[in-house]
Amino acid sequence: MLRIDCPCCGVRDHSEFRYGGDATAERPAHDNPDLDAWYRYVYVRANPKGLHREFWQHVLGCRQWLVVERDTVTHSIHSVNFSRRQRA
Amino acid sequence: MTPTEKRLASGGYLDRSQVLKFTFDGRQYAGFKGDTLASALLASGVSLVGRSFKYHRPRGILSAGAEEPNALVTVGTGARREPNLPATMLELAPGLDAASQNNWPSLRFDVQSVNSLFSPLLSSGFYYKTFMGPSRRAWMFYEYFIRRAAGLGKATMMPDPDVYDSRDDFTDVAVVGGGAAGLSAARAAAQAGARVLLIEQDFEIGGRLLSEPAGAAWLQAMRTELESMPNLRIMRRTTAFGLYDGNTLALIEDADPFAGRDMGAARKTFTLLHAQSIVFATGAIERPMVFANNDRPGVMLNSAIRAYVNRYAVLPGRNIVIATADDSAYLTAFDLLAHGARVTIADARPMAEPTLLTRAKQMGAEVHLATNVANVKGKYAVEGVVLAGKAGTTGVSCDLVGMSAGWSPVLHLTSHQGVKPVYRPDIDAFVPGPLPETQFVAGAATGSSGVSAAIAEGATVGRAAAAVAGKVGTVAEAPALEIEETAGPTTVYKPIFGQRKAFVDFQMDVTLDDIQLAQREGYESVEHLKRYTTLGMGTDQGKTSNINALKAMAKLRGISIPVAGTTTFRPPYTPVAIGAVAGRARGHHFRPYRLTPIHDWHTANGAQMLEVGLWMRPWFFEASGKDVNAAYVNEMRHVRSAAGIMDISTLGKIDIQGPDAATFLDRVYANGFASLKVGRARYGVMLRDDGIVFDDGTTTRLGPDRFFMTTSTAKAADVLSWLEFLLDTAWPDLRVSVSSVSDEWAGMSVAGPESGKILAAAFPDIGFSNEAFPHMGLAEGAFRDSPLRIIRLSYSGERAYEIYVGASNGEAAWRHLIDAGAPYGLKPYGVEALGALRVEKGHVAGPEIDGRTTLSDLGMGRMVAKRSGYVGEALSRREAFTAANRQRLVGLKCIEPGKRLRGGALLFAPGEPLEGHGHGRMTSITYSPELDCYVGLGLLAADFEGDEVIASYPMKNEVVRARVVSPVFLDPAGERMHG
Amino acid sequence: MAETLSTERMVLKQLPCPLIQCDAWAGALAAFEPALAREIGGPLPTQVGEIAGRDGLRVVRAGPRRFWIFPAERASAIASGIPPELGCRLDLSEGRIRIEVTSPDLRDVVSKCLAIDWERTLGVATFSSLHRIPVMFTRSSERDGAFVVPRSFARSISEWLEGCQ
Repeated sequence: MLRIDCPCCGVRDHSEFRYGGDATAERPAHDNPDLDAWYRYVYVRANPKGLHREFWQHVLGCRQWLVVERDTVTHSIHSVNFSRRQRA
Repeated sequence: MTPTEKRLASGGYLDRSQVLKFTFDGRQYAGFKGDTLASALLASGVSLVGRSFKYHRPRGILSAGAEEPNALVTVGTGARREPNLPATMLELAPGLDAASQNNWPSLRFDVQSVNSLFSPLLSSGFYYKTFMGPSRRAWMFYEYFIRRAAGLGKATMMPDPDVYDSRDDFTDVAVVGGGAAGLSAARAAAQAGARVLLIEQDFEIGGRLLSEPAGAAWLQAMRTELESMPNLRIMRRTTAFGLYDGNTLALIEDADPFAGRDMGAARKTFTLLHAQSIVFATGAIERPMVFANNDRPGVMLNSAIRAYVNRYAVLPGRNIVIATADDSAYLTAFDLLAHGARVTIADARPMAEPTLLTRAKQMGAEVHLATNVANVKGKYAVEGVVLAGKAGTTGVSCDLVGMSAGWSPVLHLTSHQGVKPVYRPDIDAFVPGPLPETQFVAGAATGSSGVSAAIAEGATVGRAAAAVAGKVGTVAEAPALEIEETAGPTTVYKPIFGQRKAFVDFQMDVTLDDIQLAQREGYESVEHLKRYTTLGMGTDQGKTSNINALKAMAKLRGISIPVAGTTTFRPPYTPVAIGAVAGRARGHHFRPYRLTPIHDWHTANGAQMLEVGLWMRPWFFEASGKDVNAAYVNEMRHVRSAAGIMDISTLGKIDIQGPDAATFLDRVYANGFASLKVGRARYGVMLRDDGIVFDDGTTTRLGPDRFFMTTSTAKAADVLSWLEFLLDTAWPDLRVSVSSVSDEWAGMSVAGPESGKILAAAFPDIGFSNEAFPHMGLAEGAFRDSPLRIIRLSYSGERAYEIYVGASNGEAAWRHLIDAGAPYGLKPYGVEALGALRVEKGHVAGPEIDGRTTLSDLGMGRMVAKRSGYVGEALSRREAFTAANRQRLVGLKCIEPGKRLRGGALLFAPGEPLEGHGHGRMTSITYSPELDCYVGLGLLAADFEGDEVIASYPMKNEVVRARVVSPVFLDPAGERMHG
Repeated sequence: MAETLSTERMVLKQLPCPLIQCDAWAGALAAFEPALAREIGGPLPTQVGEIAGRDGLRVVRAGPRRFWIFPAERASAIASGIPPELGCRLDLSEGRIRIEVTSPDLRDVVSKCLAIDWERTLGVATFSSLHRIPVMFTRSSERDGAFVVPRSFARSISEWLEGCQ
């Protein structure tokens, strides 16, 4: 029962969220044809023990995609931010 | 019969004005409000209440709480029969109907108690060694009889007629346990200004204070104060059975049997409690001693005897032996002496606190130091004990034996999140390890002894817990409680080996001998010991047995107790009715259902409905045929010869707008969309990043910056989240807004050669000629006060139109089309025919877009031949996707008259053995009225040679020959849909 | 088209839910907000979940750059003048149903529907999950609440609410 503190909705159960995978993998540009870059982005994962950044979407709330910093050992959540800067 | 036999004339937390009749094993008894089943049975002189799990030994009542391993009963009959309930936790209610378990034909005469004679044989691992030895088959034969012979109560096989609730709750501070520490913590936290929820598993708050006659006034004052606090709630009959991430506690609450439950009200309620901070004031459980025949009815925990005497006003014996390794037992002895019982104390320690000894002797007790109970006489009830001391053994006759070997703090909850318990040799107990800063523990759960300490600790942590929630108001000192306390370390009690039938785990019938055997055979770690002997695996989860067992193992291995360690604590703390976790989400509401705006028309017009995901969709219409097989073929024929109308409101629909919308879609779809003209639709396919096909649909350009996308019904939610993901994380610079409009629009498709005429009749303001409205064209308008979009698209291969109308006029539009189409023979059709029509036309759908296929696999590679820069492009070009044996989409036509194809059949070459996975598989099939045979789509290795396959369907032992053909079975040039 | 169900302790109404959604483009929010405020003739809510309003029009901030405008009646003119370089507008008036619940047990009912702290729901719009369906919950008192739900789930949710009494 993770509790995720959505930056605009407050603390909610993880059941309101959709998991989106590793947020540390760098996505190549859409027109980058480099097979290797895409291979690393899609398949190569560090699987760290400890703090990990991952995408979650508050899909049953504000629908924002978030970057959640979660400790994979304790499940404690250290930070939650919008994946995009909102008021830029 | 009146409840007099062992009931004291006064005292206890009983409402003696409410006499409650109940039944045990078919016999009527009576007790009072405030009794448990256990106390009422004891008061009525019933001490034999069950048979043990493996040896069918007679068993009585060991405890007065949730730790009870012996007195498990079955309550209720028929659909409401519930087994394995501890009588010590069952609140006596009018009409309670309970029965003993694991006995046949009766509790007193149990045939299988002969198991007991064979107990040397029935040791740990006996069944497996003996019956699994010869062969696996032998075990399967014997298992049935063995499982019948051993066991607990039997659950009902009928559907549960009761209602349960499942809910969420929130609080600043949760206090688990309503004993002295918990009450004090709750009071302090509430005074500090926090919202407090106090959780007590019993129907009465007070915990062990209920067994302290001197604590009654304090308890009453505290209860009155707490109940008057507006920011404090008390949940009684509620067990916190699990601790989860984020300070979430799982609670199970029993309905108050005296509340007069309404029809439809919940029998049990499951609560997920979200707390900012938690105080664990869960108390401690007394440990039994391990001696021969320590399981006989009439052998009880000393704390339990004290509870029965003081809380329930039951004197369970008159001639009592109190065995102890601990000072607290003396308080039990004093209470018994005060009620006129004869008491003999066997203290395992060489010396006890002198004031206690003096007082015991003054009150008339006989005290033996350095003395243990060596054996118990009597079978159905205790008749005497053998005491072993320095001077040898002595027989003492008695009718009740009390025992205490120290206390185990209840640290299950604090351990659920992985906090390891820590052993404290000074009190011979494990205590909770260091907790996160939002969790606190107070009272006996910390290992501290005494009520004063509990009250003081409670007040401290209550304040701290409130501070976590930012509440730091002034807390007044709790009222003092003058009470007699025992304190100080006890010696470390260790089981003495060499005793026969000395039980460690009462519920699972595990003895000291079993532990010795396990050690001899190499199952030394506590986790192996547990699984080899089943120790601690009963419904009580070893609450009274685990520590004694690990001490025994530590002694055998010559290691210290902390090195031996404990087994892992996992939820639930006590058994939980699974129905309560489900709450009301069962049957019809197991999951929510979705209805299209046209749903009521379907059900009123003979549609057989089908669940498709959450949606209810028409499967077929009864007017088309007597069953689905007849109906879908008729519906197909009708679409191909005249026209059919289909509810397609379930399609995912997404509104996409913004200055960069065209750029966005051009990247999202593998085939290009930037070139799509306003007012035209295009079929589009999306890939995943790994190059596999994700979903397909059509998107229509409504304006330069605005598009209307449809997705498959199944992927609607995934596609929207994916589009949002790309915009939020990958391309935040694109000015595009995406929104689901799936619920906004009713959708219906009119397909068939007559469809153009029907549309023209229905919407006379719109031109439907091929020139004015070509295939893939769009017309917009209004229907009543709702917007209207008509797109000429074909899924079936016939001339067809998709009509989208604002959902509030969806049914009206459907009726309007039905009326307008009547002269042309328009009839509704269902999803079975829809799926069949697309197979005939060779359109791929979910069975082909299965998360493993690429565009090339599906025959659509040419769509993207000259494109780049779309999602999934790079990895779609990887070498593995061009392998020669890659399975590609083919059409398959049944060539054996009278036989049929089946989805999922494996494809082999003629003459090849039908083994393994073959060269591919059939993905979708239908009977084709056009071709008068079964046809199907399949995925077949591209290097497969020959144009004939054997389709094998082992589930039904069917083997059929099929010809490999083009997946487009009719009208390959598309003349029908364009014409 | 209001459908009403009354029992001893609950009145449940299903009502149409006119709704206009306005989204600001990323980077254009600062210019979008005053433009939208002018369109609706009143200040905008600043926090997600906050409700602003004037007679017959309630504006809820549904996301950092998303506003939901609830007019009393369907009205095509609302927010129609938003400059396309700042954001966009979408009429969602037919895709949702407003389920109004009046019950002395409302708190108890809501606890069986939403994993939301009741004491933080008064006067704000809460976007959450009811049985894994996205809903917007508002309440004006201890006994009057409303769920804005997707139209296709309205009947399922209504039955669920009836069962929660």
